[in-house]
Amino acid sequence: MAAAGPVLTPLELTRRRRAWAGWVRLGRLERGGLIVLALTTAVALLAPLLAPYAPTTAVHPESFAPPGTHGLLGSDELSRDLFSRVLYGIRASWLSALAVIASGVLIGGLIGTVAGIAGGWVDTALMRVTDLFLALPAAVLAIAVIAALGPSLPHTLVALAIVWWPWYARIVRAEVRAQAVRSHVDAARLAGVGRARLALRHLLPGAFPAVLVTASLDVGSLVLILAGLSFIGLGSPPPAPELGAMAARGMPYLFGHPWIPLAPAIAVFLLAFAANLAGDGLRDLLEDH
Amino acid sequence: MSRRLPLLVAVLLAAVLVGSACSSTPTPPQGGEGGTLQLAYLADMAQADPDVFYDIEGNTVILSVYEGLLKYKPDSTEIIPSLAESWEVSPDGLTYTFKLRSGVKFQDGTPFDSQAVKTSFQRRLDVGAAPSYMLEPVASMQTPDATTFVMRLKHPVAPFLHYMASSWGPKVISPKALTDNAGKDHAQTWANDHAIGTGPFQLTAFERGQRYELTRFDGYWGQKAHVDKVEIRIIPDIGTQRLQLQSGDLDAILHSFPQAELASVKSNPDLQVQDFSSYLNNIIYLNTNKKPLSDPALRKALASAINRDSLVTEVYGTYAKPSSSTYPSGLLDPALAPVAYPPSETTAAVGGGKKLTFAYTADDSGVHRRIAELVQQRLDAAGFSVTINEVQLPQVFEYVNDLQAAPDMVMQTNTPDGAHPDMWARIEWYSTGGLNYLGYNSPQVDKLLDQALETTDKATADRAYGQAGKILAQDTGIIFVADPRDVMVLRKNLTGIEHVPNYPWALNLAALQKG
Repeated sequence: MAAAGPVLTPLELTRRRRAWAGWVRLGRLERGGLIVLALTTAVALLAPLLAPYAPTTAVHPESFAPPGTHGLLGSDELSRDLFSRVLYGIRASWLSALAVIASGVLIGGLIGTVAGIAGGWVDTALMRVTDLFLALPAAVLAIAVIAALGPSLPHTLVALAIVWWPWYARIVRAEVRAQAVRSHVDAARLAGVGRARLALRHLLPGAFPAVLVTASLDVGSLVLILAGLSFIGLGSPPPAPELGAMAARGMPYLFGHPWIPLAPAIAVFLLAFAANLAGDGLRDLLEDH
Repeated sequence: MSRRLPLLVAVLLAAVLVGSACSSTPTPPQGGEGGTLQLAYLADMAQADPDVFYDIEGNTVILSVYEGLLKYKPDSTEIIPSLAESWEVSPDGLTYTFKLRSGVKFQDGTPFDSQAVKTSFQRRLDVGAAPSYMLEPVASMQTPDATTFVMRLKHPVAPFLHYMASSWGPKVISPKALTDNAGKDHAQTWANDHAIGTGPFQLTAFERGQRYELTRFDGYWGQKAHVDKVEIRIIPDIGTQRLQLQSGDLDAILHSFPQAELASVKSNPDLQVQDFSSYLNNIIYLNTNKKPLSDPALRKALASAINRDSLVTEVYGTYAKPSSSTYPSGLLDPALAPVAYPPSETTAAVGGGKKLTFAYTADDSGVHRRIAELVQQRLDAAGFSVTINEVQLPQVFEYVNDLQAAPDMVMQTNTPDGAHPDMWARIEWYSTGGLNYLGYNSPQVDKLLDQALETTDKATADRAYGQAGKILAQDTGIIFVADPRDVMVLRKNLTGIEHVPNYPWALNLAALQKG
């Protein structure tokens, strides 16, 4: 009789069970957060397919149409479909947040690893530079960078990437140094493993969980900072659908046509909330290991 | 014990907060006379000096404290007496003789006479700020007696009486205050945040960025103000202003109420929406000095592609009309300088992928932003590629210094200084005009305007103004979008609402009554 599926070794079986047990043990909120996170990423990637209308053209016969009359969320002040705009806005916020984090992890990870492994004056120099950047308030530095380069989404992302890496540099360096004194690293070193391989195979994997948890918690903060920057006019120029800018532009209509500013604002809230819960959930899952 | 401490602190803190909240909201007195009128500005007025002030926000303060020789009749372009009881213009248009009111006193008790007028007018020239242009044509000023004031001009100036009636026109400041505080700058340091004029209100507090307070001047020569005090607070957010208006902490919002929200205010039994004719004009300047809009045919095609008439209805509803003339409605017979932008078929061929930059000044009502985004939408549909930018006014004034770096289009809502066609054309599209942001330059237009300025016959002058406007319209140097109305939202119990079309965002505070 041929095996119907892949045969699981007892070890793998235990791992799977453990993962499942971890999932079950997560709070309902954290589980929800992880699910919403997955859903959001799917929505962000598929927004062009999901949105019923183009986000930047006037598609409805009237502006200020209440939710349900034209489109799911009604039309905005320029007869555009609010639902489509919010979807595209989620896409922009989410993917931007992920891009900033990815670049932060990359830059910070590289600097942290180099500092951690090299030690000595290289470590001191790199860490003092990191401290310098840490001392700057992220949002203010980003505003300065955007003011110098001009408002646009790529500039915002560059600005945030510049201020976002120092956290990761610190975390990675600390983890690398903690790993470096452990016996498996000594063993590898004695076996004659080269520096690069040592870093990649034996030191960095140990830093991974801490970075992952920080990153997932950061997604929420980044969504908020991006929305804040675009709220004060430092995001993409119009008509780009950005959640912060949409809320800002809708503010004059808060009382008579509340859905126009509230729909993007609620989207920002949900994104940040879900990201935070998911971060908590992820930490609980990884702690189990 | 120690665990109770935070609770105790919290309770104390709450008590203090509640206490301070109570003490900072005085109960407004009721009744027809007296009371305090609560108003708000969105931005600081920066300047109380009538010889420097050249803004719109702040008109209410200047016009309540100071008076000029003449003023406008409410809802009209008609010039009526203010500090001058009557006036005479010589047939050659060079000598203006004003018979001044007697028995008028400044708020500091100084008697008002012709010498005071001369001192103030001379000061405006000495200070030499933007509004001093209104007295530049004066060759000499004489004061034959205490109630007669004579000005001789270097050349005839058709709108000269309108200069005297303008809200930015020359005002009369207490000569004693000017001498006492003269300093080395013609008392500018003092006049910056103090004011002593002859108007129905005294400026009793000028806290920059915070609040201004006007108190009734009981020695006023004319109809005394109904309310005791007017408090004008700086509330830089229209949403906050709206909440305060609804709760009764504000009595009126004098401008920038979001147009789209007016419908929801009308159903509120405590509020009234008032709209008045004005000379406000929403216009789009085109950069004729730089490619691609240096091509007149392209400018024409662009103007048509905007489909202006439907845009105006969409943004302003019933609170504006598409401009029918190059002059704000009411300044000149629209048939003399008509504009029309018949909408064209929108095909991508019109724009041919040309890139355009469009700058507009921020305004709190959301009107400018909506117009900008609609223009962008429509021009993009016509094959242009438009980038829009919200900018601050000082930036706009810089454009003329480097027209190649300036945007292709600039949108703003402007108003003439007075109800005379010259006071519009000369600032907007005369080659050196103060608000000619994108340097429109036509020697023919300049010549016609200069001719008209010195023409004493009104019909001939109007034809010349019309001709200048026509040339500009054919040239599509400026797209005239809308003639908006001056819209205000007030508490229902306010009566005595008096508005002058040429004093935008302002009401006659002396006439206002809280019922």
